[in-house]
Amino acid sequence: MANSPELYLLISGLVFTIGLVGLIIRRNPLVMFMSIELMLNASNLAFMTFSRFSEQVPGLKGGPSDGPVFTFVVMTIAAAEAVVGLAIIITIFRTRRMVDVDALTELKG
Amino acid sequence: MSEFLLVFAALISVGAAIGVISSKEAVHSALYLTVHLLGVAALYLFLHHQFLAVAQMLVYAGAVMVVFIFAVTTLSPHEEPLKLMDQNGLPLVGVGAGLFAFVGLAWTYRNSALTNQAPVEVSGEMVPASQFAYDLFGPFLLPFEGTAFLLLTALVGAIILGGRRRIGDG
Repeated sequence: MANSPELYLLISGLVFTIGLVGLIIRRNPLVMFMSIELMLNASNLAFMTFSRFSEQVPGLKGGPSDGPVFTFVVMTIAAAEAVVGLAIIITIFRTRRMVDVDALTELKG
Repeated sequence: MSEFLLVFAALISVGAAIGVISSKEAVHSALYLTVHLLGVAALYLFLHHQFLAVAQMLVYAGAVMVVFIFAVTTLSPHEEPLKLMDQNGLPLVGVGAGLFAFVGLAWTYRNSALTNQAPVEVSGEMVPASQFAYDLFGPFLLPFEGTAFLLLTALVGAIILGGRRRIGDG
């Protein structure tokens, strides 16, 4: 089981779906950010899985570090996104005193 | 034993992910997300990549989650009522979109060139961190330096957003 991609891809698909559902149904921007992190993690897991098992496929070009480098870049993007996004949420909270994405309908504060 | 640990890590990842989106309090969501990230780090170990497993633990479950928990505790948002059906029916739309996405992903994964192969024994050795370092500073130097530029941009942006400005400062 550890040597076949199916279980990892199943987890990846499930976690991506959970993240998407969370992004749609939750109204708290912090939890929405966490859902985005879930989706990014699911894609990372798929990258790592395909990278690890791609040596099974004959005629497929690519080194063993292709997928991990993608994962590395996505982790960096997730960190940058979390920092900037949370700074924006805190700035909004300072002026509006509440965090609900449905109530934020105007750009001018 | 290894299979048992793999299934255990898989269940923890998926279960904690469900916990993230179903907790009423944002702090619980953040803690569930930390557990999920650690579970995924264990899966990276099963995928034989040591460096990213450790980076996932230190950078993601450590540094990024500290920022998250800091923001959650600073804002202390009120509990959010969780109902399956509110006025605009958004939760049902979410579950429908989720089902659609999962079926699409499953279909894509089933039909990829990888999963159609007969199972072949892959090498059971860990990818050494030195190998990844040679690749990162060799053929992948440009994306690596790009991440440095991205982090610098995010840092400057966070300082500009977070700095207190008086009215009239521009």
